[in-house]
Amino acid sequence: MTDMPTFPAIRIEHLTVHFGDRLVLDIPDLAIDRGRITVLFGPNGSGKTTLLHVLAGLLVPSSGRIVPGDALVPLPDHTGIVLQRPVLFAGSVQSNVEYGLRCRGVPAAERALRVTRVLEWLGIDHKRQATRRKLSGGEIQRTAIARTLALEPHLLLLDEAFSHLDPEGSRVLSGVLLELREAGSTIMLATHDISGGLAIADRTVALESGRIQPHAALNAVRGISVRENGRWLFRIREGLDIEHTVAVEGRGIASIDASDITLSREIHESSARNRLRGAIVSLREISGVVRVGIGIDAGVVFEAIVTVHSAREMALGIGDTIVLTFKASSVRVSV
Amino acid sequence: MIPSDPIAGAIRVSLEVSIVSLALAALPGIGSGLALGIERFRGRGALVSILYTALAFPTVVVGLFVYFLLSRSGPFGSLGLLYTKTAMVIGQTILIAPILSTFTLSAVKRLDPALTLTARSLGASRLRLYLTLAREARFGILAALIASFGRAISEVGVSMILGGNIAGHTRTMTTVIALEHDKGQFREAMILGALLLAISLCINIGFHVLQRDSEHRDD
Repeated sequence: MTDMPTFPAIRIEHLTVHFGDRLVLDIPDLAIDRGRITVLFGPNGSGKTTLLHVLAGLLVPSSGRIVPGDALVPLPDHTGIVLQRPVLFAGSVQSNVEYGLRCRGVPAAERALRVTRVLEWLGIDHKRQATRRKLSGGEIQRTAIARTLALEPHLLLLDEAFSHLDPEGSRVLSGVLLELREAGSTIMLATHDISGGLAIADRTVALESGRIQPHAALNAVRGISVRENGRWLFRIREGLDIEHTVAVEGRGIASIDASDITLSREIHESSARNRLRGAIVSLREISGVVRVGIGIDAGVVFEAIVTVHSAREMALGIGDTIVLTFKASSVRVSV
Repeated sequence: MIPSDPIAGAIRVSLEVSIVSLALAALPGIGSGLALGIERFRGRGALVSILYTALAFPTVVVGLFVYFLLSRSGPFGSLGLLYTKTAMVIGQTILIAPILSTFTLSAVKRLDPALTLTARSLGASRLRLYLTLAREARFGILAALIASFGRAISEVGVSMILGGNIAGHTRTMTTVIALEHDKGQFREAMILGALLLAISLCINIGFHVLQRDSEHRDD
């Protein structure tokens, strides 16, 4: 069961990182899908930042290697990273955004075009001449993101990029990342918090104590929690509701653990309140389980985890129609 | 009374030697300070200790060391530099380079480590990283320049031993003051001392204006 719908942008093989005697990262095998948004989640100290730094070429691993999916695209020349704590250099927002372009020898005319484009994209063009002391935390974060986006990286790495943004900034960044994905960029976003970008994830990777947790995957979707006919519904879009039990109203994020989702070919009667039909878009076998990606609707992909045995018995294949079932009580909602 | 022309000459020599020394020491001093703040290599700790020790070198010790190098029997005696402004510049450069280096190191160490990581993540070459951190540490580096200039213009040992206090040639403000004191002309010595302070003050005000403008412009 190794067929995949996408090519890996990069593959991590037998990667370990030690800080002194301490093993902080141990990833035997991980492929990052090209043209997808992969969200790396886990608690603080789980190794997310270390992994991103290795991918960005900022940290040399103790062992293992990063193999580019395309031998013609060398890493880290085509990799851009937005670091966890955004800092700006002395000078204007414009000179900051130009920094990486100057480092890479991009001609002045091209630099000007790219700077204008990313500043407008992130909604901070009016701050072009401002220096760091005159910017809010959110504006500094947007500038740091713009500085990396100006490099037009094939692989974009973001470390807790949503954490310094206000709701408007988060909305802008989500939109930008989705546009980049549509344009074919591969994006990896590390977060410890479900509100931080999980809603736009095509795939989640859970990291704990430096190791991938193959049995942990979180589906997150953005929408509105409403109360209708005595039931709590999370409305992803008109006609696509998930029932839940969290008594909160308003716009927010719903998350469902992938291991709480069961798959079947047909809709069966059960006590579970949520049944969604979708098509399999990815199948990935990791450490004795298969992570199944199911496209529910345009842009909404859920992930479920089944055993290898179940996947074989059900003869799961890409493009197959499948039914996802999960209980209302397994849906977590935050607004 | 002190004749005005010799004083003007001494002021000119003082400024000329100190400014040239500062210019010559700036690149190796600031560069080594940046390198010590950015790079990690074997022996770095020992080098930093030696530089801090060099801050306490008496000017006469530096003067004597260079004197032995430049004296007729020394390795560079054939160059005939002893008792010239060039010899004074060499001595003052050696004297102030450790000040520039340690002040710069200290300024770089105070910077946010995320700046280095950010510059590297954006593809900065080593030279660009050095220039970026030098810009970030510019206030500390300016302080290093002020302190170094102050040390150079106010020292006596190097100027006396290597310049020889030759009137109209290697006589500086400080060596004139020492001479006036030796002659018992305390009033003149005090007036010259005040003049030296006034010149230093003017130059320091210039540096501070530069610092303030830079702060307004870049931060």
